[in-house]
Amino acid sequence: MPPVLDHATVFVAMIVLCAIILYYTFKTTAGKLPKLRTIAGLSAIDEAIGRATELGKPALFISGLSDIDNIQTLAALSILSYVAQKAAEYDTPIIMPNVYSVTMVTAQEVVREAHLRAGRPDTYRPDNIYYVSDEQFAFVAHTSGLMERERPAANFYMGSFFGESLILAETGNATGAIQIAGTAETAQIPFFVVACDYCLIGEELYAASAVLSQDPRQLGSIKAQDVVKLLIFAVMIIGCVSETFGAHFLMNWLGGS
Amino acid sequence: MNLQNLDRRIIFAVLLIAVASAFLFPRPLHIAVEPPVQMAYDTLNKLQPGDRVLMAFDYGPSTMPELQPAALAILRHCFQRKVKVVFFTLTNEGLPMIADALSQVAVPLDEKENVDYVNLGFKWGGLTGSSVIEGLGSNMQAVFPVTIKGTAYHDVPLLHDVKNFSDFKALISFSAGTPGINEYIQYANARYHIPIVGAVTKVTAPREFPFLNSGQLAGMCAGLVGGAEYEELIDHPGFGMSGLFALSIAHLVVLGCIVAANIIYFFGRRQSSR
Amino acid sequence: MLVDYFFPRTPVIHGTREIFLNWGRIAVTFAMILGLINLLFSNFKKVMLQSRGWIYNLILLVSFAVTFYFSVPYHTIVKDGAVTTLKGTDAGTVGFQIFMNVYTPLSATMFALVAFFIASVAFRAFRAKNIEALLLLLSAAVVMLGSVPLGDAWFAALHLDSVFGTHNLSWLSNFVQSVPMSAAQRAINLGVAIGMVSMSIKILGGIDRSYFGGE
Repeated sequence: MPPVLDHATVFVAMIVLCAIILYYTFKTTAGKLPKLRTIAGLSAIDEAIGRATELGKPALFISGLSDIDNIQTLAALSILSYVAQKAAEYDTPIIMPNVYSVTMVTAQEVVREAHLRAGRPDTYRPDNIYYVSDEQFAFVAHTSGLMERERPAANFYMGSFFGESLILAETGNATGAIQIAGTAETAQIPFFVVACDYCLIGEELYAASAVLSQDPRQLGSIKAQDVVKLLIFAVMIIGCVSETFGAHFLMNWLGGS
Repeated sequence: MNLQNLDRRIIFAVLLIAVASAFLFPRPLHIAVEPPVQMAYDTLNKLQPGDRVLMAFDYGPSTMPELQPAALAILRHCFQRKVKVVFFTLTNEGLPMIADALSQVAVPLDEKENVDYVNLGFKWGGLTGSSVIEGLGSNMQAVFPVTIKGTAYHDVPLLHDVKNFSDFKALISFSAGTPGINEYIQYANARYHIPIVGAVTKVTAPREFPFLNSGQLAGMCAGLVGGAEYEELIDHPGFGMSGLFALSIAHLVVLGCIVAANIIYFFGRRQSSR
Repeated sequence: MLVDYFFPRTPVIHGTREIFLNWGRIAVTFAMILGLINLLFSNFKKVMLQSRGWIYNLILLVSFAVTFYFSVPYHTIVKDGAVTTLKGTDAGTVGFQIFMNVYTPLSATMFALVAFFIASVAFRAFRAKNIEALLLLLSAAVVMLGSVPLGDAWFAALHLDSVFGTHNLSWLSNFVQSVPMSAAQRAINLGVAIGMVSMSIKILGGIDRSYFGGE
């Protein structure tokens, strides 16, 4: 009889991972928040919005070139919620061109709610959050032109980016904007690191919503990620030592499907 | 003029003149084949006449200069070895790329459609293409009931006994992003154990080295240089080889910018410290 | 979806997954129509109000109409006495010509901008202000030169190939990419993967609702 369960190793790892994350998420209470290191890019959001306000220019937010089903887009929208609230408090417009219409609709809702929380529902402009094109370089051409025309003072690039990342970052740099980027695409991280003022690298993008909200449960999940990493390091060390001495049990178990 | 804040249009002009000159006055360059490309060649060289391979053209016009040389070279190699090729794509931009490859390679070599090759066309599989890839692994006819020209699956001689990945010796992916080679490794190789050979852009190539090292990827051509190396291996120079000199010049210009910037920076620091 | 990954041979689960996937495809199709309406409406509004740069909005609307007209319908052509029906994007149609002769060069041009921007970034950002910056520019120089044949030729001309035994600059470039760069990428990928799982659990569990406007 063929096995019912495929990828047993992955299944066990997933259960263990989820259990650790859920445990620390619900264990962390308001009284004992875990200490997180400062993420420069997130600390600079207030400075960026403040600069845009002083110059009387808008802020530009791009939530990446993937659809709403990409977790990076959801992480970007979490950051948008905070950025939009700050912008609403300072009465700074946010311009947000979108690659996908579902993301556009979600972003409109996020920004509207942010304006409501800031007590400035009258300043919400749905026309500032619009759909451009599904095509990568059509979107980039529009956004580059937008940066040259509108000259936003603060640019936020959060989410999944591909070959256009350097075009956006360099165009923004040429207009003199302060730029904060964040992506988990490893191929694009170097471009953002050299071309932007601040860059959230990899998992810092996913940790952003926890850091910005300071919600105890979300902060607990960050601690859980560190515990999982320690567990993986332990497995790696055990694996290296066991392989060195000719014991292949770990490799056989992990390498099997 | 403050050289440290040099107008970037000057840099653009230098690059434009250098690369244009390289195209106008080309020089042949000898190229050494790198291990990832050699691995790809060796994998496909083991194929026997009559074997079948899948070719996924998951890139568009923007990355055509980087990927088309490898695509044409690999396709030519397959036809030279009398291997049957089944084309498909997970992105709508891939359709003209397949058409272009067929017109440049299949037509001059007098390959017969539906006998030596068949184009199944485009099928959308979501962000990762997983539904299409897993469908190809279980029941290919359900995913592509007709070819791009409207011929029914069972009427194609090349496909009449083909059910899924197990009827193919390799899957060759030409990809510029997502869905692409990582998804084929994740869904096709991990689940159905079909060997994957790839061609990717130079920027995304470092991301694939871990898969090469672990054996999940059976070979890889990176960018225009990878395509040129494959052309060298099959002894059929094409756009890859002809673009090498211009590419080299462009790299030298960028390196020159780095050197110049550092010289200007250090001289500026010495002057300001005086 | 997740359950099907682990139990693929269960027809009920697999069938349910297919139903959800089909629903998703249908929803995405309607979402495209929504985006299209938004695009046309916002550009039409700017043309009617003659806002700043309205001529470009008009060009967009005209381009859209022309491409739509030639790309969407089926065309019947008679060639050598045979009647053939082509889709709007098949080779030989005007839609295909628009794609190959307008969209393709434009798309390639936009991507070509990356080369120019790399040169300007290299001039602006690759300055050896500290040890990390020095390591960055040295590894960039090695990888760039090692990626092209001229690099090996220079290495040999300067008699530097004996520094690494029988290895040349392209070997060094491959080494940098396959060893330290791969190690760093694996580390980032590991963190990203764990972060993705954690974020997914928070979203599915309703712990993090900020992505749709909640606190």
